[in-house]
Parts: sequence; C-alpha cells; structure tokens
Amino acid sequence: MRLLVVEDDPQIADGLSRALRRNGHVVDVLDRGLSADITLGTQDFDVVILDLGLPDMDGIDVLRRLRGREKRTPVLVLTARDELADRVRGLDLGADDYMVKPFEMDELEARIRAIARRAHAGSGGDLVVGKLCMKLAQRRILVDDAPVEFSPREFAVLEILLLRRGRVVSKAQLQEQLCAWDSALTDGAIELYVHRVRRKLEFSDVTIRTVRGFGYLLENNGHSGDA
Amino acid sequence: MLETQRFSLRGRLLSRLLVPMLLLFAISGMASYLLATHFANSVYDDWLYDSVNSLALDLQYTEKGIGLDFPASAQRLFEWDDADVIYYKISGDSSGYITGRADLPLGGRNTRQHRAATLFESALGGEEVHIAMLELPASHYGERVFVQVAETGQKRSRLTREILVGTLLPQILLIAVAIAVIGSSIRSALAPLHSLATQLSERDHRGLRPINEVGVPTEVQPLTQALNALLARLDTALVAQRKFIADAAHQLRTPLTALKLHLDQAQREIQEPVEPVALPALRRTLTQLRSSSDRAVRLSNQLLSLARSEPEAQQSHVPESIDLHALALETGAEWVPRALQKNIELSLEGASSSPVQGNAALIREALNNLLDNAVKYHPGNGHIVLTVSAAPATISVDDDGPGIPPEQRAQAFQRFHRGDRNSGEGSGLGLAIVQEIMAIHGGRAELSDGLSGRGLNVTLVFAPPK
Repeated sequence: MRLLVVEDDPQIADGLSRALRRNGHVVDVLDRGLSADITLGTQDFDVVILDLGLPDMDGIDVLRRLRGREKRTPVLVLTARDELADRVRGLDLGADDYMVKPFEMDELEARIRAIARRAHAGSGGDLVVGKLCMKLAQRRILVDDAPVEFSPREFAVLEILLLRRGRVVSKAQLQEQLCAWDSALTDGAIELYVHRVRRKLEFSDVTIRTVRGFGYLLENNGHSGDA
Repeated sequence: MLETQRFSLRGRLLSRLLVPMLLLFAISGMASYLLATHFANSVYDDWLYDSVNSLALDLQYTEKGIGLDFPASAQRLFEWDDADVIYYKISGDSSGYITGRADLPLGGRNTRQHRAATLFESALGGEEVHIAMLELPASHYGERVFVQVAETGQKRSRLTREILVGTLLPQILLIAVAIAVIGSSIRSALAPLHSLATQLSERDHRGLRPINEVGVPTEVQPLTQALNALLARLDTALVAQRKFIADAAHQLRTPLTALKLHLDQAQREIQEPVEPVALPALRRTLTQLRSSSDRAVRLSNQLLSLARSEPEAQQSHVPESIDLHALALETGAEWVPRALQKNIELSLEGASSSPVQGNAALIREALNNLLDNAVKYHPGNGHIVLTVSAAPATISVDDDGPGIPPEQRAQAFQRFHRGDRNSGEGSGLGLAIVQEIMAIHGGRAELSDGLSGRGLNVTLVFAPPK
C-alpha cells in the first residue's frame, strides 16, 4: 500500500516509517500540516496516518480540508491527548479510525489494514481472509476457489463480520446494518443467520465465535488475531 | 463577572464618625452664633430705645412751636461714640421737619415693635443705620410728633464678628483634635489586621503553618480560624501530592532503569557477541526491553487518568446520562480479542436499565482498569464475567485468576500499593484510579471473592439517583 505519514516528531516518524516499510508498504513522511495539505491535494494514497498536534497547521484542519475536497482517502488519526480521542469519536471529524499515543505497532498495522479493507470494499473490491474470498462486485463467496451459495441476508452478515474481523460485532450493530433489508430483526433471527453462515463456512479456515453478552467475532484460524 | 466592591475599613470608620460629628459641630456653631447675635442686637436695641426716650423727654413746647432743649454739652454727650455715628430727628404731623438730621426716613426694613418704640433699618447717606422711632400722640403737643434716633451698625457688626470668631475658632480646634484622635484610634485598632496581612504576605507557597492567633482581636478570630483550617487542609493536600509525585517518579524510574539496562545489554551483545550466534540472547533482551517500555507507557497513562479523575478536574464537567450496559458492551468488546489471546473467555451479563449520571469517559477508564487487571494477572485458560445490574446500579468484573487475599483487599486501593500477585508489571495505581473515579460519582468500589470462590470480584456501586 502507499501510505502517507504526517508526524512532526522525527523519532516517531522514523520508527513508524521504518516499521511500515518493513511490512512492504511504500511510505512518504511529512512533518508539516501545510505540506501535507498540498500533497493530499495533488496525490492519492491508500491510507493517511495523521498526527493531530502539528506545529503549523492543526491535523484536524488538514483532515477537514481533505474531506472538503470530497476525498474519501482513509485517514487514521494519531493523538497524544486522550481527551481528543473522545472528540474524534464523538464529533465525527471524518477520520476513519484513531489511536492514542503511545500505541502498539501491531495494532496500528491491523487498524491500517482494516480501514484500507473497508475503503476497498466500498469500491467493490474483493475481501480475502485465508481460504475465504468475498467478491463484492459479483456478490459471490468462494471457499478454496469453490463458490458457496449465500442468501442476500447471509451475505450481508458475513460482509459486516469480515469488515470488522478481529473485533467484536454486537447484535445491535448487526441489526443496525441489516435494517435496510428488513424492518425489524429479532435477536433470534440474527442468531439464525449467524448459525447458517457458520454452517456454510465449515470447510474454510474462518470461524465465527460467539462471545456471550457481547456478540460475534470473526477469526482466521490460520492466524490468531488479525493477521 | 461581578466587580466586587472594595472599601477601606479605616476610611469607612473615619467617614462614618466624622461626617455626623462635623454636622453636629456646624449646627451647634450656627445655633450659638445666632443666639449671641440675637442677644447683642437686643442690647443695642435697648440702648436705642433708651436714647429715643430720653430725647423725647427733652422735647419742649414753646410759643415758637415744638423745640428741643438740647444744650451743646448734652448734644455732644448724646452724639459721642467712639465707633458709630448717631443721628436724631424730630418731626411733626403738621409742622413737618423740626430739628436734627432732616433726611432720616420715617420707615424702613425689618420693622418691629420694641416696647413703645418702633425699630427698623434703613439706608442713610449710603450707610446702613438702625433707627428707633417714638410716636408721641397729638394730645401732648397738638399734633403727632415723631422722635427718631439712628445709629450706624459698626458696634453691632464688630460684636457679631467677635462672636463669630469666638464661637468658630474653638469649634475648628475641636474638630481638628477629634479628627486626630479618631484617626489614630482607628489606626491602632486596625493595626492587628495590618500586621496579620503583612505576616501572610511575607509567606511563600510552602509556608502553610497556622497563623499566630495571639493579639488577634476576637472579631477577627473567626477569620483566622477559618484561614488556619484552610491552611491545614492545603498542607495535607500538598504533603499528599508531594508524596505522590515522589512515588510516581520512583515508579517511573524503575521501568526506565530497566529499559536502559536492557538497551546497554543489547548494544553489548551486538558489539561483542559471546556466542557465535548472538540472536537468541538479543531476542531475550529485546523482550525485556519491550516489557519495560510497556510498563513505562502504562504508568504514564495511569498517572494521566489519575490526574483527570481528580475532583478539581471534574468541576467543570457536566454530568451526562450513561447507559451502563451500553458502556460495558462497548468497553468490554475491545478486551475480547486480548482475553482470547490468553484463552480467557470474556462474557457480558445483564441488560439495559435506568441510566446513571456521571462522566462516561471516566467510567470507561475505571472499567478499562478493571479489565486490564483481570486479563493481565490471569494465568490464562479461564473466565472473566462482566455483569451489569440495576437497583443499585452496578458493574462488576469477576475472574477466576489469582485474586487478592481478603486481608490485603483494603490496602489494594492505595496508590502505588502492589500486591503479592504482582509480577513486576503493575504500577499499583489501577484500583486507586477506580476508587477515585467512583468517589467522584458518589459511589464506591468493593472487592470480594470471584468466580466459584476463586479469583477476584470488583464491583462498582453507583449512588442511587437523587
């Protein structure tokens, strides 16, 4: 992926870009908000990693101007102040995700992959996890390259879980996302759909774990976590 | 912002005492002046009356008409005066002017009756004169005869002046003395306040010993007592804060020292490898490095959240309505993958109920601390149950981990307390933060046995709604 890191602290910028390059990404680093704003106006990136505390131009302004240009480039916001985390969460600044410093490199990587995946899915690409491949454009599912029949609702359930893989998805979230399909879905109906999806994935290396009280978690058995 | 009205106690006392006193002095001065001039006037009026009477006695009725038997010597005696000029005039109804000063008028201002005579004032040759006039009836001389004596006002105004000076001077002197006496007594009465202020202003922010109450007036003592109580509270808070900072610095120093040690070690292993392949040793050192930096990070995070949960930091926060179940669902979900890595099943029990009032970010923080503890100290392969219940509103975290012995539970809430179970990872702040957050919400945190008599249960009990 082509990434842009906007971070004014040289040590953090260096550490970040080195780790990201090691994982095979192409990384550009900028240390000023103004240059980031100009660069984002002319070039396209897969994901932007944006620090909020920049010396010249606030990261929030960079983000606002980017969204003002109708750019859907995924942005992951970095912040040192957790009060800001609440703002990012609450005010919907147009960021796709946020992390509070100090953060774990593993988690940052996972989040970058997740938001890139979501952007990818939004543009009708393929979602691939282990032996499972979801072709969003054709709305087809392949396990080990063999097609598996999914009803539209089952497909939607799996899509939501795939896009949030590695994280717990609550029944309420599933209901919310599926409400376009059905006016009201009971908990029992959700359980039924998940049960059916689970049955159809029996021969893949992807499992859907029920987390009591919380919801569902899609895991790739080949790798623990979100690899 | 409301401007507070400032005033000086001394100024206020001075003005409150002096203004009425000056008024009283002015009134009494005016009264004595009026009284004195009244008496002086009546003395001179009497003299005028006597003069006009004695002049009337000298009137003679001859064939030539009405005349005055006034020998020159008597006239000199009559007219002699060291200060004033005295005039007289005799006139008749039909005869008209008879003798004396012809242009003396028969009437004037301020006309009044003084026994048998009429008194008035008038101008005469550009000079103010006081005139006494006796009207003799026609039965005596065949016509009405007017006898007048006039006198200029020199003596009267001189007396008035003297009385004025005689009454005002002592008054002014009295006022001056009164101002001096009142001023100095106010100053001396307020001196203890002044010295109190000096005593306070000379202190620096560390001088929190109580104010010496010796020599402080009883009226001011409530103030000094209140101040001393405040100083004592401040002192306690400062001591606690200093201890906290020292503890925090010490706690931070430990992981930082470890970091430095492992870094040095790593460098040495790279520069002068002991074994042919230094990688395993290096990997071990790096693992240590990582756990040390994790500890430093965790500690700084916790210090921050502790600072944020200080009551002072919360004063500006408007309480919000919080659905505990939704909060537990959102916060707990983040911990599920981490728990699963240690093969711990994290589950949520209970349902939505009536909301509590408070700061959602802080409650989330408290719950994060509890879940962090539960996952971190758990040896793995077990359960953690998050339960939300209503009436009273509670969130609890139960685990089947190592737990805390009952006798150590009370101390577990102290800052920097680290129990036996500590593997060198914890800061000893987690439960202190939780307790602080619950105190802000008028609730409490309780420890008891965890799942099936093992492990630990931490219950956050929220205050019932008011």
